[in-house]
Amino acid sequence: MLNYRPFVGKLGPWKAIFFLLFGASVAFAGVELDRLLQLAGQRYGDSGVASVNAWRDLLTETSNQPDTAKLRRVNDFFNRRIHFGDDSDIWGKRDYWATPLETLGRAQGDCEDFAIAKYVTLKLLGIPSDKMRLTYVKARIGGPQSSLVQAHMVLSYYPAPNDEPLVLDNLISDIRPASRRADLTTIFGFNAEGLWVGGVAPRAASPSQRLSKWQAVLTRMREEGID
Amino acid sequence: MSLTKQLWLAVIAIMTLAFGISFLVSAWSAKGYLEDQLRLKNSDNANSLALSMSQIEKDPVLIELLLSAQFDIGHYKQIKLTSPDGKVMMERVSDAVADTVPAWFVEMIPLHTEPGIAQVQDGWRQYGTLTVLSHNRFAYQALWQGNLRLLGWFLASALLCGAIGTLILRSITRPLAEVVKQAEAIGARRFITIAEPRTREFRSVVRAMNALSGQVRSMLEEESARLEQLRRDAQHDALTGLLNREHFLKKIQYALQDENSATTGALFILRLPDLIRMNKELGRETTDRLLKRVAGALQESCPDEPCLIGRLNGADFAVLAPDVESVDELAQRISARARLSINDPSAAEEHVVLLGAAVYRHGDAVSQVLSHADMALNRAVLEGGSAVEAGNLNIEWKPAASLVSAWQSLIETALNLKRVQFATYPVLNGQGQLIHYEAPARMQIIQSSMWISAQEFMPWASRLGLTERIDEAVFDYALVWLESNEGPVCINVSPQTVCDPVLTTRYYQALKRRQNLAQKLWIDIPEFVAYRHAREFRVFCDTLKSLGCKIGLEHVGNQICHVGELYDVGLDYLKIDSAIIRDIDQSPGNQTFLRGVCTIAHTMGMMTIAEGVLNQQEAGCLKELGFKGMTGPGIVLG
Repeated sequence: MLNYRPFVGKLGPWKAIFFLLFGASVAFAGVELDRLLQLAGQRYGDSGVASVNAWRDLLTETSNQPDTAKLRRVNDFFNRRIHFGDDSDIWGKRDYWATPLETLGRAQGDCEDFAIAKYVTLKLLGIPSDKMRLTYVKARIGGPQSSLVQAHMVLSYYPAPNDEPLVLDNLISDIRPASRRADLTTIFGFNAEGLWVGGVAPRAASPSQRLSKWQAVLTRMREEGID
Repeated sequence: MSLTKQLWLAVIAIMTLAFGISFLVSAWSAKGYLEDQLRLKNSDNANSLALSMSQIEKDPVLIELLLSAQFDIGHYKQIKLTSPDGKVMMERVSDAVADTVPAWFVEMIPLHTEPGIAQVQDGWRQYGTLTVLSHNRFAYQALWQGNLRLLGWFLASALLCGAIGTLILRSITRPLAEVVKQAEAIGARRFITIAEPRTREFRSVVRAMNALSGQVRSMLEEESARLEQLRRDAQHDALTGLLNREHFLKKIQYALQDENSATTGALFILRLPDLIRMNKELGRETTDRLLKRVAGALQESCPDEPCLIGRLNGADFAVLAPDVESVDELAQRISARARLSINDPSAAEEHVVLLGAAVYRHGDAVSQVLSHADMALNRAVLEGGSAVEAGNLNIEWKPAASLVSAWQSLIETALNLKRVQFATYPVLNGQGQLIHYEAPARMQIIQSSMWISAQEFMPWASRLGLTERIDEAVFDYALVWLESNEGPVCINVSPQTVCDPVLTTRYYQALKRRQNLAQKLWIDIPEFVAYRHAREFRVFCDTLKSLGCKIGLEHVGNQICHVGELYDVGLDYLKIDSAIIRDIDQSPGNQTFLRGVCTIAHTMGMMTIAEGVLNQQEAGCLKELGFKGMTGPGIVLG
């Protein structure tokens, strides 16, 4: 609890009291909020702390809601709060997969960062990961007749294994079934758990974990306090 | 257990431990690495296959072909496609692979490989889940081979370490062997000193033992010097240092009877008839000085070693010259030098010197020789100066050539027919028990079938250079005798044999084949050989004592003062000359001397044996003096 002290002033007195009283009840399995907040403060300053607090509020508020509400709230949260940008502008690298903290802290991200942040948040809210796929899609931009296409990534949600998925996209604010997304053509979808190999958490010591972008994100996330 | 054996055990133990540890370490690190690699391979291959399948039309035949192709060209244990609701759509499983990896090895290092799982999409719909599991026998094969190589290297390095260690150990322990040898020598009362080795620990041990040897040696030297003093007191004339009457007479007897003495010789008696007058006129001191000068003149005129010079009484001196070339010449020389020594050329009056000489042959009685010399002296008074009593006018100084060749043929015939053997006389300890049989040689005259004693033929054998052959014959007979007889036997060995390395080697080899006999063989060596041929003597002793033979000196007496020099030989016994033993019960001087001999011999670990003991009086006295063994006419077994 001592870790909270530097942030008390920034949280406002009522929220601080609330936090002190109910801190235990808002803690989520798999998230070290203290650490997240501390890191956000160190790296991104007040705006970072505010983003993480807002994200925490989102988790707190939606944790007891039905899955569809969770999907909508999370989709809206990231689509509104995070501004789209290219990796090269944000990170100075051609293709960088950011962790939710990095995305929240900078309030910027590209399509993978949106998809990852939504996936992680929904997983923390209790949506089983085998219902979700990170899907590579080819996106046609500029209407049905446009020939402008772009590589893109979205988060697909399968209510049941054989169902049509719902698409959580940062290009549009709605969540729509796949059939209503004629502008997207699927290329490949992967289950994040599958890459974790049988659900076993990869060993941090194993250097091979860094070789895959997805594994790299997972490792960094764990270092930042989201497991 | 020897140090080298212990070293090898240590090397084996360390190497086994090191191999075990490195086997475990390498096996487990390889296991981690291989599992990682297999997991990545599974995952990557699953994803790339799923990616390919997602892109194509979902025709089951096409999908199955793709899956089969991947399975057939790769190294997989299993590739499986399951539908989203968990049903197996298609599956390929490999057969068991036969290889050289033993089952216990697989069991000991279990490789847990996680399958790679990837999703196959059919547009937005899920088509199925792909599970890919690579084969791990190849990993086991690599691991097994690697460990076999590791074992090989460890075995090779264990051998190398052992070999190098052995070499190093050998160089370290080389001085140790010397140290052990010295310690054993000192244990056997051979007080040797050795060079100090470089190794510090060994050096201090050797230094201590050398110091001990040095102390014992100097103690022996002091004892010997004291003994020599005792011997001189007992056997020599106090004024002139020549042999005293008693001892000189014993020596004459010995010279006439001993088997090794010369066959002929001469006894000279020199008399100073003016002694009483001189004493009166010149005074005691001057007379004593003149007497010493006479003694010196006698020693100068007879420089040969076998010559014995004694003072019979106040005015009579005596010289025993065995094997002398010309009695007249020697008589002239002695007479002239003696006269010169006591006469002042400027003095008006001349002191008279009388010289009588008697020729003797081996076997003559002492009294007879002495009376001949007396007769010659009487004649010298008449003839004024010197006279020679030849006794038998036909005496032959040089034996006739025919006699020499006759003896040669007798001895050689006896040698060829193996008729050179020995008689046995018991040597007993204080309780009357047998120590060994003394075995003087004897020889059969073939023509008369008569056995003759060593006294008779040994002088001739010596002259003819046949002593070594006789020694050899006696040695051979001793081995035969010991095969059928119980008691230890003691043979004599001549100086020639001791100095002959070929014969020493032959003795050694003959005894090495029959070591049980070597334990029962005692060897007598004449006293003077130990000092005159010191080096050969030591070689002879070292060689034969290593087989268990017992070696000692016989006729010990004259050179007892040097016995301390034998500190490093480790002799077993000393046989004291009968000339000293004779009438020991009546000779307090010799008793003191012999008590000292026994003490020093005991210090050096040697037994003392008395030769020529005649009766119980002598035996009783000798026992009291510390003698452990006795032999002679007065000593009879049981």
